[in-house]
Amino acid sequence: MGVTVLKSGLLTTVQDLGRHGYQRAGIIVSGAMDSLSFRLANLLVGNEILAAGLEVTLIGPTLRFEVDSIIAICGGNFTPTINNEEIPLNKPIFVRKGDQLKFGTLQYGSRCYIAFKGGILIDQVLGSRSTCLPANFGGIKGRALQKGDKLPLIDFSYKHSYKLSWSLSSYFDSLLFNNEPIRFLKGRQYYLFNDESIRLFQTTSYSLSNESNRMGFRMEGASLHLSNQQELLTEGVAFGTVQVPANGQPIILMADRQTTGGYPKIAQVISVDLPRLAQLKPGDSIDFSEVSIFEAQNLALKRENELKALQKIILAKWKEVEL
Amino acid sequence: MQDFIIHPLSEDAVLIHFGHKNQNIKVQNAINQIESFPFWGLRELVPAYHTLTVYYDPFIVNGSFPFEKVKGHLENILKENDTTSVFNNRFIEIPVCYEIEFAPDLEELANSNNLTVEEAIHIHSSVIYDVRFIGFSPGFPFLEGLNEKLHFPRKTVPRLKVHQGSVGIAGKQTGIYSLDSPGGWQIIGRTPIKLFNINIKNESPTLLKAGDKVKFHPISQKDFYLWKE
Repeated sequence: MGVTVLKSGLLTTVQDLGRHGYQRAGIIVSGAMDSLSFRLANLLVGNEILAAGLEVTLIGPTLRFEVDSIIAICGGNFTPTINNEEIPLNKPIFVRKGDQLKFGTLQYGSRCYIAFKGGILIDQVLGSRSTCLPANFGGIKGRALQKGDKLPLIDFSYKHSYKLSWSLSSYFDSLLFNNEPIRFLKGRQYYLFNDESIRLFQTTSYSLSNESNRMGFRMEGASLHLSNQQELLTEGVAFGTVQVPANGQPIILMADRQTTGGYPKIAQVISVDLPRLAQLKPGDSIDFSEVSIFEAQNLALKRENELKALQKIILAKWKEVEL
Repeated sequence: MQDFIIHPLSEDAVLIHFGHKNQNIKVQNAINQIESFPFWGLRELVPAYHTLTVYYDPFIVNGSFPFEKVKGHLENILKENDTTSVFNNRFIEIPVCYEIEFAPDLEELANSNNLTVEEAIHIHSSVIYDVRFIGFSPGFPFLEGLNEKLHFPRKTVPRLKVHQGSVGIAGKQTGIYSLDSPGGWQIIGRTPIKLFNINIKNESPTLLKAGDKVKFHPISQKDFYLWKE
């Protein structure tokens, strides 16, 4: 066995990078809300890209290790401790059998990710270990973790606990936690909105509503309306699609979004800004600013290259470590 | 002549738009063409009534502007007007209990459309519907072919929970809720069969797929409870 859940936290789920290839059957993609922090945590412990970890939301769980493991925590800072001693984020940490991982005060962010070296060893369902909460499958019994759940891990039974020398630079935190506007592409129905709505969307702030979850972030602010009210045919939607139902308050579709939707799309949040968006809390303010698809893809390619370069360096470091 | 428009949906997806009316045959043809000549980096295809969403991996597609490259690939693949698609056309009968316990909105719908409940049931269950696509939630079929006499707008306030198996009407669409979920469709019956089952090994987890033909078959409440798949 690996880890026993002593306290569940608010919403702790097993996630990976999502269940791709089955949207045609209506199957929701799921996966980590902040895929950047999720990937960084996996990179730090030397995991492959498909390894599953935990997504922690607003209130952290308490976990007891039943094996020796190596973990890394990235994303929001929930003041993590091991046996009541504070541990750093963004760096690999040796954990011994019997150790307890707890979380304290939320200092910033809203989600953090725990990667375990070797990943969480549960079966894949349709090619992914992500928990699909809306349809109750994947992860641990298709639901958030509960007290008493057990997560199987590799037992490293190592002889020496190394002080591992590497940790992430503050560059990645600066990408995740800043007050810059959220950048977007024009949505497919952008020009169906009236001029006033487009102006308001571009120039006023929205606040993230309490009724936000892994499916969608509801926003409160200026009401947006079409020039001519009309019923649209259902069509594909993506992570980050900003759609506007009849009440005029935009909703940003997140990791557990449905595969298709019928509301007009005013915008699409660009992929490099989705992790930052996912770290916002209800009540936080959001401004939007437009970029082109060319710019958005350039930013995505640059981010990907940075992560690949980082992965090379970390894997080389792991080669020098003898467990 | 090119009769579609390719829009960027996100950095890893384009949406191909085939005109304003229902262009489902074009969508199905496009799926066949793209699957016959897939491009490097293609991830998955998500059909809807008049659009096809094409997901791709921008890092595999490569180049400085993956969207332009994918757009070029798709224009090439779709330039031949392929109308030779053959559909599998499976025919599936779905038992539905239309009794009041499972059909909270049937009476209002019938009254508003100047029908008796019996007439509404008869009309709904005597048509063969086309499954246009599966969307919204796992296994939820969007069906086409609803008789005009049954067209009825969505509820103004959606229900917080619609029971799995509920058969609904929204405007000119009819469909079946594959999971318990919130929803605004008018509920006129319920089927005892499962449209989504993740526990079936090595089989599709959904009962229906695009291209299938479906007919509803009225059953009693007793049959509903005794139904075995």
